[in-house]
Amino acid sequence: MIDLSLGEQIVYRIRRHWFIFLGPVLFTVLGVIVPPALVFSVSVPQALSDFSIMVNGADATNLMLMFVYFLWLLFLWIGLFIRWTDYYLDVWYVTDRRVIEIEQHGFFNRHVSSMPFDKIQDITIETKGIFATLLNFGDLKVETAGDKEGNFMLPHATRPHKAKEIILRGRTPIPR
Amino acid sequence: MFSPSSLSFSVPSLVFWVLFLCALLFAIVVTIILFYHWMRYGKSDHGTIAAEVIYAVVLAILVFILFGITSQLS
Repeated sequence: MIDLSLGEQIVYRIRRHWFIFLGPVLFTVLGVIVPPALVFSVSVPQALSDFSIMVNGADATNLMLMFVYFLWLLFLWIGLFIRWTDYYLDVWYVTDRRVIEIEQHGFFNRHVSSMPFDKIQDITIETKGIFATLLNFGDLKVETAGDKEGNFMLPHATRPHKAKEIILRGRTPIPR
Repeated sequence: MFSPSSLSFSVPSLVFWVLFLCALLFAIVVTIILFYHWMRYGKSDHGTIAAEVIYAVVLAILVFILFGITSQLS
């Protein structure tokens, strides 16, 4: 939720690139696959036999393992969306008057600040690594004439060159 | 060689119910906080709406399965 002035319009929205969120997703996928794979790889015939017993509802030990596994899945799933919220709610809005920076740190730490266009002195883009180059993301830094604390920085911003162009242009809306 | 059925110990069924209820309580609290953030800061955003639906559906399935397993263990 952002407070816009009367008549102020959002021109562009900048988020961190989805590639950054691939780490938590891969961790979750491995967390889903690895535990049963480990159990099954120890002894496939035995595991199949166990599975058959489990399906028939006769073996409490297998049920216990299933219980622990699904408990683990529950925490994995919740953890993934906690990370996603942290990732997704970090956003920059470019309006026709200023740049608004929103940083979400965990659940209860949110920082919102804005910078009018006339305060912007320079915009720096830093693209590091092969993935950043190929997928077109990088660190976007908007600098003011004053102290460094007033600078805005969005790491791994999606399409930073387009964002820079729009910020510098100031107020021309970009068709979606 | 390890196999699941080679484990031989018994755990009181109450333990599983306590674990299940703790997990359920945790899930409910975190879900309320997550939905609060999504509805307040990501209102009418397509990404947030998709996240709400996917998260809620999978969470409900997981809780349902866990409940089923816990019931069978008691």
